Amino acid sequence: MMNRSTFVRSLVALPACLWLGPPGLALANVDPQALLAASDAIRNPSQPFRVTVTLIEFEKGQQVDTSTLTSYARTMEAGGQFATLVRFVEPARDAGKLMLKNGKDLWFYDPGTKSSVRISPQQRLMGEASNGDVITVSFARDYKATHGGEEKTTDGERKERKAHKLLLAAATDDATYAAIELWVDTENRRPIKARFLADSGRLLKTAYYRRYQSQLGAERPTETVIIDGLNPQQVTIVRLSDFSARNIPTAWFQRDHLPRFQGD
Amino acid sequence: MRKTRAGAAAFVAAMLGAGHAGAVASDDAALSLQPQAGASNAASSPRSLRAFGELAVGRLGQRYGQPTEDSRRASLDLTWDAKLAPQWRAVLSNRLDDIHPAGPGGRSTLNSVREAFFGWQSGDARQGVDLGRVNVRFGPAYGFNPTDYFREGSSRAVTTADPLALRENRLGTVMLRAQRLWDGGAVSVAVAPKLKDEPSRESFSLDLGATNHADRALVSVSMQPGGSVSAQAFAYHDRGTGWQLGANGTALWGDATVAFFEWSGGKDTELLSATFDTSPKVSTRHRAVAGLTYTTPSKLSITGELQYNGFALDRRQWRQAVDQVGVEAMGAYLYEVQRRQDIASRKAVMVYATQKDAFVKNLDVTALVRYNTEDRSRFVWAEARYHFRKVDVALQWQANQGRASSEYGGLVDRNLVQVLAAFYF
Repeated sequence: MMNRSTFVRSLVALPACLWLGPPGLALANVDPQALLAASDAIRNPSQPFRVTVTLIEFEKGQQVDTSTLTSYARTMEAGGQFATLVRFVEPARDAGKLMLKNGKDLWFYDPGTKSSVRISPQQRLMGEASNGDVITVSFARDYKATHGGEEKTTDGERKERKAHKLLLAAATDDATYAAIELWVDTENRRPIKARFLADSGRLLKTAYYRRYQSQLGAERPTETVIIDGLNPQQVTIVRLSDFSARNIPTAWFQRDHLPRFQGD
Repeated sequence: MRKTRAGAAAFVAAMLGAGHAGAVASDDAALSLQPQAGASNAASSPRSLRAFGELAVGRLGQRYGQPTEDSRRASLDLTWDAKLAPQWRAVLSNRLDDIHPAGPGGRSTLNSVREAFFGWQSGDARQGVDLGRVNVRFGPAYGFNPTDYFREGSSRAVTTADPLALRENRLGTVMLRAQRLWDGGAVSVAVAPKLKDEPSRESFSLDLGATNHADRALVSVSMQPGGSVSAQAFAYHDRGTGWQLGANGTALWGDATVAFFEWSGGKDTELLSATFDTSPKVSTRHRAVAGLTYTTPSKLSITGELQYNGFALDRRQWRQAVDQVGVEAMGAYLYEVQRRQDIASRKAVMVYATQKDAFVKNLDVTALVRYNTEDRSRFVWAEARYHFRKVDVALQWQANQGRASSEYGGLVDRNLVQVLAAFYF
């Protein structure tokens, strides 16, 4: 009887076997990590930026909630980490609350209680900010990509696209998800779709990137449809608007600055 | 190892795409969803003014033959936080509570000017100065914060038993504060002068005697040696009692657990002496808390805390005090403990649990137990809160349980059931 570790080793070995052969030869020139970085650069402007994030939640096809966040994002000079500071705008009960993410350094600040509370990645996944993050997050630094071949897939506009399938495995402790499957358009390297997986292999969420528009010098997705992995009836549409380049000080991404934060 | 597991996870999920046909169908349905008109028309930045009101009605059960009483409360909470110029800020934060029945020695209507200050910060946000009544709060623990040095006298109106919600009522301290940040750390200095001798229970008093009753100073240094660990160190001086040193820290343990601790040691007033003596006795002792918060994938978050207060009574001292002054007079001791936001027993345990989206979306269920390990009495509080778009509705229950001569069992208030509505403007 196959024990668990043998089984896992077999599973890891299998895809390598499957990707060899004629199609694999044709893909010899694909650098999956470079492809991932190019795809990241389409989602995230290279300069520090601010964007308004509107989250529209659906359950069983009915719109049940909306919330608005402002996200400030930049690559940190020390360590090259991609950091985000999210400020809640709507609903009114949450207005002014802040969520800081710098790798796994996660802090929640409530201006009502003046408390900066360290939270775990698991706690963060409970909130809507984690859905906001599916967009403004950099994969190339925290994940190791392997090429899973070329295949046809359906994009967020329900059109068929030819895509590179990338298999991303967490490569640093800062990675939020254990693994991600990402489909990148062969034509223009745009991200089309991603599946986010837990350590157990359980599907956490599926994201479709769509409504590409010219923002901050490139065609970028301005809407993402996120489908809950456990309950596909729970869907969140994430709309990005008001992209603007900002001179965001690195000090904004420190816990000690949160009580002073006023945004711009 | 992690990469191997993650690679396997990705592949398992891919191969389990047997359910893929169903997934495709549901993905197709999700992609055709259309938001209602105006769904993304919200303002892109918070307003300068935040406001909410609360109404609560309840039924209070009492001990010592006292009758059951109706309780009610109305509160209006306003915060104005404005950017006067790119580097200048003004904050005014006020809360008005009308509470029946009022607490010990309290008025039924209490206005709390929580914050009123001007702030400046440099363009790179690395330096900042604040002047005025500022709410400076430290400490990662939930129920007892030894390193929160400006906590004494800061709760003018006690409107909830939830330690997290109670922080919203907290008064700031009049001070001059300066802060400097660098990559991975910060230092701040706060100087708070004595402005009044005694606290005031007048309805519309600024109550400077509650927060500025002695000349005080605090130096804090924050360090972040790694992404998963943070620490703060403190030196605090109160002209009336002397020096205290302190430290706190947090650490991320795996993906679901946050560990924290707080410690403070030095000179402070013995709590029993502060209650009954005209010249309270100052001693050198320690306060400490250690705890964990664990979150499950099902949105249940549980915090456990071990609490220690060297300035409070142990079992033997509590019995002696009860024998000397009687259990009812010990209410004054408990009031003094509450005023100082301390714990009344030498050792205590607290458990705080929250289930988000319990049974249905937007329903949060929270429970709290404070357990006095010296006399085994306990305080239990539970809340079910449903969030509508602009209104929260909550049902709360709380009870003081234990032997008649114990901390919680000796309190006049036996239990309280109340319904609360919060309106966010």
